[in-house]
Amino acid sequence: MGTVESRVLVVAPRPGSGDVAAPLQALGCRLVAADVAGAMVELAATGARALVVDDACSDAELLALVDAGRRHGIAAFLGQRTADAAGCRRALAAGCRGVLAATDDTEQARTLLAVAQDEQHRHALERQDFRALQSRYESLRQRCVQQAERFQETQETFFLDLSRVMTIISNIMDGIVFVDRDGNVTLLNPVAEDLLGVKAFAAVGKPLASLSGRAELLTALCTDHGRMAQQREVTQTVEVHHTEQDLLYIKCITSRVFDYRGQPAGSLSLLKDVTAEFKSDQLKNQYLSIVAHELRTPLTGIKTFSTMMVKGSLGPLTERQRRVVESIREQSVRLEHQIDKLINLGHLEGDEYGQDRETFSVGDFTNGLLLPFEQPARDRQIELQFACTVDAADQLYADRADLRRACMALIENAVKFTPDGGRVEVSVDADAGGQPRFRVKDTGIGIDPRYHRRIFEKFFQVEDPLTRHHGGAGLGLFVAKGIVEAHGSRIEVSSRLGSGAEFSFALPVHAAAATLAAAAPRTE
Amino acid sequence: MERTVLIIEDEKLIIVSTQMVLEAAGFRVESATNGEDGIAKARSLSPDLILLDIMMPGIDGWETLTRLKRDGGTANIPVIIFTAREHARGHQKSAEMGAADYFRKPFEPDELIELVEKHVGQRI
Repeated sequence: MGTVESRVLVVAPRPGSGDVAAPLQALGCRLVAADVAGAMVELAATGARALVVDDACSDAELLALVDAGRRHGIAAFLGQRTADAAGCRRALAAGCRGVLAATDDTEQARTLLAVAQDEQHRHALERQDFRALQSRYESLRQRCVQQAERFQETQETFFLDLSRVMTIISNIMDGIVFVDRDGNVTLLNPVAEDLLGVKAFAAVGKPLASLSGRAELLTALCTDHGRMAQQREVTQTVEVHHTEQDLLYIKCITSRVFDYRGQPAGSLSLLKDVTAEFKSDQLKNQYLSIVAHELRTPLTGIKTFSTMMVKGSLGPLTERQRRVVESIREQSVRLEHQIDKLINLGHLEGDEYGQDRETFSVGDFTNGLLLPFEQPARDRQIELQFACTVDAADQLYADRADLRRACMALIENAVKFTPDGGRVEVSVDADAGGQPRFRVKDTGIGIDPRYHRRIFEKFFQVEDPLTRHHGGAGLGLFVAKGIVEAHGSRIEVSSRLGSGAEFSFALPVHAAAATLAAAAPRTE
Repeated sequence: MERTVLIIEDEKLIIVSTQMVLEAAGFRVESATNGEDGIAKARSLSPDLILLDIMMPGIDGWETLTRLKRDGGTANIPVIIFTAREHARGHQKSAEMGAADYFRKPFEPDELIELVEKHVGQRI
C-alpha cells in the first residue's frame, strides 16, 4: 500500500471530484487527490505511477500538469465522468496518453496503467542514458581543459623560443634573409636590410626578384635561391659598390630549409661582410708575390751560371769543381720549388684556379710527376709506383700548372703519411664511364671517416699541431680540392684509420676529344 | 746574318746571365734597364726578338708591351714576357696583349734558347 507503483495522483480544481479515477481504485491503486499546485509539489517530491487530470481543469492547467508529469516520467490522463469525443480531442491536444472515464471498466483501466508503467520505464532508461552522456561530457570537458592548458604551456614555450630566436636574428652581426618556396621574402634582419639596401617592411611578402636595392647582391641571392633545387648549399663572395670608391665583399651562404615534415620550405641566406679578410688577403698575396720576385731574381743568376758551368760553357772544370757546381745547381732548383710553394700560399681562393687552360696529353702530364718525390721516398724505403692503363695520348683540357699542383699535393701527402717501408701507388685508369681517373693509394696511417670532410678545410690537420710528427701547413688538400672542383670534378676519399688511404678524381678530358670518342661507332 | 735579342730588364744580374746564355748560343744581345729606354732601343735597333720583364721601375712591362705594339716601327717584333712574379692568367693576358710567349724566371738555359729560337725573326 502506498508504493509509488500504486499511487495515482488525481488532480481536480476543486476537492471532491476525484471519482473520475474510480476504475483505478477498483484495481487497488491508491488515489491521492490534489489541487493543481499540490500536484506539482507531489510530482516533484514523491512521484506516482500515473496522473489523472480532471476534465474540469483549464487548458493551461492541463498543459502544465502534462508537462510536469513528462519531466518526471509520469504519464498523464484526462479524467471524465463519461468519455466523449471532445474529451478525447482535448486529451490528444494536451499531450495526454489517454482518457480515463468513471464509467470505464477495469480492463480499460489496466491498459492505462500498463501505458503509464511503460512511460515510467522509458523515462528511467532515458535518465540512465542521460547520466552516461553527462559523465562522458564531463570527462571530455576535463580533457579539453587539460589540452588547453598544455597548449597554452606549449604556446608560451614557443613564444619564448621565438623571441629568443628573433633576438639572435636581430642582433647577429651577419645578414639573414629567408625566402619561401615561391621566392617570396619572409624574413629580413637589420644587418640584411643594411647590406641589401631594402627595408624589411617593404620586402616581406614580396618576391626576392622584385626588390630594388643593392642590385649586385640581390641578383646574387636570386641566383643562389634558384640553385637550391639542385644544390643543398651554395657559397659565393659578391663585390658590392658601397660608396663611390669603396668596395664591400659580401660572402653569401645559402642553404635549403625544410619544414618539420622534411618538405622543402625555402632557403636561408647568411650574408657575411668579409671585406676586412678580403683586403688582408689581397695584401698578403701582394706581399708574397713581391717576396717571390725578390727571391727569384738572384736565384735566376745562380741557376743560370751554375748550369752554364756544369755544361762547360764557361770553360773546362775539374771533376771536383763540376760536382760542387752541380750541387749548387741542384740546391737552386730545390729553392725554386720552395718559392713556388710559398707563392701557392698566396693563391688559395677557388675562383683563381683553372684559368689558364690548354690541351695536353695524359702522357705529357704524368711525365716527371713523381720526380720530386723519388728521393724522399727512397730515403724512407717507400715503394713509389706509377701505372697508366689509359692511352697516354688521350687529351686533357685543363690549367696544366694547377692540375699538376693538385696531383702533387695528393702524392706528397701519401708519401708524407706512409711509414718507412710502405708503398704509394699512383695511377691513371679508366673509370666505369671510360673517363681517365687519377688515383693515389698508400699504405699509410689512414684517416678516420669523421675527418673525411674536414681534411679539405684550410689549415686543417688531424694531428695536434703542437705534438704532430708530420710537417706542412694543412693547405695541400684544400688547394687540391679547389683546383679539382674548378675543373668540374670532385676528389673522392676512401680510407679508415690504420688501413691506408685512396684519393682519386676524374681528370678533365678535352671536350672535343670526349665528344668524338662518344660519337665513334663501337666495333665489337 | 747575326740575330739580335733585346732584353728589357731592370736587374743587372738577370741581364748578365741571360746575355751569357744567349751569346753562347750565337745571339747578339742588347739591353735596356727600363721601359722607356727599351722602347727607344727597339726603335733604333729593330731587334729580331725582345725579352721583356714585367716588374720594372717607371712604366711596367705591360705598358711597355702596349706601346711597342702600338708603334708601327716595333709592332711586328716578337716579344716574350719574361717574369719572376706570378701574374693572374699571365699566359692569357700576355697572348691577348700581343706577346709571342710567356716565360718564367728562374729558367733552364736550354729552354730559354729553345724558346728564343722558336720566335726569333718571326715578325708578325
